[in-house]
Amino acid sequence: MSRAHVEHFEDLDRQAHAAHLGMWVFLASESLLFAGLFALYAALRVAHPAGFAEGVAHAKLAIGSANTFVLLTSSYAVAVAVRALRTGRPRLSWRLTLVAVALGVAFLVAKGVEYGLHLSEGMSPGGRGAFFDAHPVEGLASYVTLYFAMTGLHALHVAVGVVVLTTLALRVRRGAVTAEAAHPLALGALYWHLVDVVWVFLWPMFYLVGSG
Amino acid sequence: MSARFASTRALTLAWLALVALAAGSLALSRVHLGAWGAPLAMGIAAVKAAVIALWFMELGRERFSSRGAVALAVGFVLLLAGFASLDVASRATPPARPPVRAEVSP
Repeated sequence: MSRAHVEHFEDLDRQAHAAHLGMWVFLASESLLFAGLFALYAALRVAHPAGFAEGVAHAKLAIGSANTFVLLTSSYAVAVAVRALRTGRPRLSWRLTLVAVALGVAFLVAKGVEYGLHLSEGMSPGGRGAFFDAHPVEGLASYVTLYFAMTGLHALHVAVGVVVLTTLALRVRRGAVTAEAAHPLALGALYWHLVDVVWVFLWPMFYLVGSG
Repeated sequence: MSARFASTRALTLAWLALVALAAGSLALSRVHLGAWGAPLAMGIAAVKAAVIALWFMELGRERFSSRGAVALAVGFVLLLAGFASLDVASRATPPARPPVRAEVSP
């Protein structure tokens, strides 16, 4: 099933380019949303290195690391799904997109388990309670609060991505997104890759740096 | 048409590179690198982000307008995080106040 371009574009290529440019501008604005939190993290880490090292020592490294490999693999699945659609293999495309969705759900489940473990230890945002009384290190509360704020905002983006990719997989399966006009899936993939890029930075910030 | 886009082999190699870089980050985090730990970890993260942007997101194949939007966003993120850290790091610690002498009237 071929798709014509909408009438205010001269051809499908221009329509796809406009859609891509719009998505890149949206992704740039998303980056700036995270930039404020990255700047806050950088400033607080410089001010309280001991508190952040203590926080990293309490991070759930196994879960965080497993989630890194899960997201990298899901990005790969989506990238191959886009290529499959463009080369006329929609069946492989929607199946791979659903693989990425399943990996996204696995990421969220693991993140939920991780939050549960932290909260059961008393490691909660705000820096009050027995956990912080037992670890009186300046800056630890800032680490914990930023950890929940930044990974929580990221998890929200993962959840949105799961919904978007599920919708796109169903549209590819129905034949509503085709090889001739594959840009809706390509745009959804771009969003998913940005979610991956953000996590690529969050992982060393909250799990790795300071634990050596 | 498919020649315009990354091949499945290229995508697979990019994924393997990402997995190797992530494993490298994890291994380095177990080694005490002192002050080099943070820049090294963030440097590896930046390389991973570049691999995702160039192969998975096909940024190199986008038109100049799209690449410009990304370059601007990356620049703003670096400016914001960089200057915020520099500001905190370069603040001088205020000297301790000298004890106030009680004035004794003659």
